[in-house]
Amino acid sequence: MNSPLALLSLIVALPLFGVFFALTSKDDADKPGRNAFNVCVFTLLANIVLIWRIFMILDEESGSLQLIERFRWLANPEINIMFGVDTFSLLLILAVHLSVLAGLAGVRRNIVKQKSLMVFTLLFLSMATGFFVAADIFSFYIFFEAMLIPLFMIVGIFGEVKKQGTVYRFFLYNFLGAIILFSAVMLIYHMHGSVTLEEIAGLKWTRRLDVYIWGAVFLAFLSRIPVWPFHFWISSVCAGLRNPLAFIVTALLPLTGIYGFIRFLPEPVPFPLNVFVDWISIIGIVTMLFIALIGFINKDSQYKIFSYITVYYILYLLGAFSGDEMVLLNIGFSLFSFMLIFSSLETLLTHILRKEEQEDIRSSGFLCKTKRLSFACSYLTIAAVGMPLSAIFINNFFILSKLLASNVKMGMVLIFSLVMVGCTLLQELFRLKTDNPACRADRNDDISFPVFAFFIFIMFILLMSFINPLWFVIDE
Amino acid sequence: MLQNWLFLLPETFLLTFLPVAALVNRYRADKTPKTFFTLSKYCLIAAMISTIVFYNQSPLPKLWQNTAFTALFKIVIYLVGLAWFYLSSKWFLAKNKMSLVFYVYAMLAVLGMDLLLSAATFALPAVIVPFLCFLIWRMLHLMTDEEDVAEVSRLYAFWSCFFCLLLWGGIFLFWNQLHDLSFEGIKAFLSRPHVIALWEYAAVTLIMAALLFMMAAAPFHSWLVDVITLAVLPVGGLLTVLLPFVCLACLISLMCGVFLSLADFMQPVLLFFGVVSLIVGALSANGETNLRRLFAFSTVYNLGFMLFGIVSFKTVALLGAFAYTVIYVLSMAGIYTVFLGLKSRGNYLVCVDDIGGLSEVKPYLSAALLIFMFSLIGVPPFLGFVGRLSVINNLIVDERWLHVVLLMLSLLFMANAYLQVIRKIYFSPLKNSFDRTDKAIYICLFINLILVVISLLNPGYLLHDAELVLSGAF
Repeated sequence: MNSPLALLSLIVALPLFGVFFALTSKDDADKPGRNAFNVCVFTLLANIVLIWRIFMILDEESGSLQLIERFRWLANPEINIMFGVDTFSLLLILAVHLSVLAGLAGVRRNIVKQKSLMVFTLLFLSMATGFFVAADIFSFYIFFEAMLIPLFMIVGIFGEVKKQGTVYRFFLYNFLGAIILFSAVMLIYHMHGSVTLEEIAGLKWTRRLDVYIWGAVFLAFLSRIPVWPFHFWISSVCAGLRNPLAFIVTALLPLTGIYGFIRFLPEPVPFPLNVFVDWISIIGIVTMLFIALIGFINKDSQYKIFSYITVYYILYLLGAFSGDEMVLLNIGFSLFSFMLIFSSLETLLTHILRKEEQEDIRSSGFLCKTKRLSFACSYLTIAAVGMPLSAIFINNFFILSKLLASNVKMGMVLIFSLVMVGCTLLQELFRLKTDNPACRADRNDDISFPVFAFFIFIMFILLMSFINPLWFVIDE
Repeated sequence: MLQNWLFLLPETFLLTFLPVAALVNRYRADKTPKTFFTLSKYCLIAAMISTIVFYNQSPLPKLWQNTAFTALFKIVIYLVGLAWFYLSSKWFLAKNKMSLVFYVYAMLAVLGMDLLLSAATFALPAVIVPFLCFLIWRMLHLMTDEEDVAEVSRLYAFWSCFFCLLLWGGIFLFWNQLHDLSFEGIKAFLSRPHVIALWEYAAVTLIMAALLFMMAAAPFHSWLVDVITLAVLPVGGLLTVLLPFVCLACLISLMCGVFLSLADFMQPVLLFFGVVSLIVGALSANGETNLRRLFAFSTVYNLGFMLFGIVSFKTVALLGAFAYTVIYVLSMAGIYTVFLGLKSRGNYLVCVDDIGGLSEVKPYLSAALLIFMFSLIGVPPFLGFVGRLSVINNLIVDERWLHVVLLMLSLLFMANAYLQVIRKIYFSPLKNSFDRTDKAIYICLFINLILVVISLLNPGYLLHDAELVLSGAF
């Protein structure tokens, strides 16, 4: 199916237009950056409406990329920019938009360099959307690398990471991953010309090239996922972030690695690849176990969220390795809820941490004094651990059953890690909800009604996704 | 006969600047740096228009020949020269210094580059290369109050004399054997089936060594780094932006027009210089705290990249190298434009530490620097990606895997050097109070960025027409 109105290009371009308007927006003396913030929110909402519209014209049953748009870009080497989506990628785009919206709710009172924050956020959004709608190897690579720049700027300027060296080594490390992918893409182009993502899995090379190309692709995508030994930079950056939007944007980075595996991985996995897959599965599970344990004993709530995110990403990675169509669809549905949950939880927890730092209020027992916050945190935590409040419940059940069926021992370790990380979140919720006379929080420290309404909307989406993950799609 | 003299118009217009400037300087009372810029502007525009009109006509075909290929490079030189002269006038205004000498040297340098590009015989480079070396040597002394100038000037004079002697030696060897210095004659001699003699290798090596010295390819790079660091900003910018571009054009013209039959010999030599330039440029830039030295090493690094682009001696590869060079020119011109805006209490800032927190007070200058630096390391979606893609694609087509790996690794080191600057600009607290930035700087940056965006959206504008012209280079 071809796109009638170049809708995919529009959802990539709209945030870029937003960048222009945010840059040229006027600053109020008392509320600097407020106009840029409004532009950012408006652009996001407009894009969400467009995404919803695309869902309506998409054929959910079709497994291939739809609404194909093709632009001739370079004549030599001949490169066309190609866009296309399926239900899976569109769900991820929607989830990224909603997650960023949740992050924006956490920085609405920010006055320091708010305009720059909005500009880089919109840039990131455009690049991330481009990445998920890319339908050929070059478009995929271009957006894979391009999203690093706004991410680097957001983390560097607004992340409030104490060790700046960590931030730029984090960029270099991801840049190395992108360069490795570039070499693989150039090799594929050299052998077969500009191929679409759907054709990659079926391409045949010599044994040596197979090892090199797939090895490079694996390394490139793994560099984005916090699996040992690739976890160091992302964990040190995430643990130090004190800005919810910066945290959410950084935490979206591993998603690109997992999405890459899902798009590139051939089925059945050829010989040199299956050796990589086995090794990565083992390393992934060990990492998962360690991160879950460290998260449980660590007292920093930011690290607890990071450990939750890491463990779930590795679960999705292992699911992606199975190559089963149904598992992949379930990963898509589960990822959608997972992203909404972690971004909302991060925003709410940062609110508490900020109060603790700025107003010297003890955080333990904070939720006893703040009803709205308490309700939102409780719901999201319970949904996060896998209770039947979101799509995670059913979809993870399906993914886990498939993984258990393929390897019982691995499956058991996996379930143990999930339980541990669930306990980590519950432990934090318990700490925040245990009445503590030393906590000086009052009603004024609660989230405002508009923010609460937004999170109620997120909770509504999560609940509906439990009933039917594509409940919002109205067939034409 | 008269029409032959008309074909001399571009060079005549460039030369006209000298007497007119001298007259203005003698008789006009209220002359400012802008006066000489205005003069140079008219001369450059007239030269550019006449170059376009007579793009394939030559007044003295035996001495120099104009082709679409040379016209393409000359137009870029005129345009970039025009923009840089405009910005330089702002520098002279800010410093309240007379600009006549700079514009005279700069216009002579443009004339020299113009003739060098069209040369059809080695007699011309034999005169122009020493002349350009002399101009650079003079420009180094221009209004600079740095202490190290005398030492650098002595070293530069020594090495430029040495390499000019090498050039003359190479040319003499051809003259001694053939009694003909024309490119056509030497090409015909080298292309005939025969066993290549030692003197032929020696002659080619000596000539190429001089050209690589002019180009400042490592290990002959130190003069460029020192001159750019010590010379005043208008001179530094002119050399950084235009010199590699002109030398690359001459290199292409010599490789394809004269020494093509010795391609097997030239390839490893160019690769050696390419590899050394990449390594020296990328590693040295990392240890630099002086902005100008850092970007001078970046120039050396980019020269290495360009050399990699032309080693396969194919039209496609030339096109890749050309695209890379134009992108380099745009980015470096942008970076030097930003340098003109980095002023604190009347002094132009040169240390990386001095620009800490620049983004807080000069967000647009910081953003421009960010874009140009990311463009230079070829990160998509910036224009530099097109150049990187073209060069690396050609290396892959030639199955030069080791070189691809080397390029990728060097990119990482270069990125590290740029990140140190970005870190200072964006992540460090404000250290200096910055002076008001001239509107002209913003206008030039805006035009540069518009060119970049247009070329990015449709690289065909940059590449397609150039492809047609470059395909005639062989």
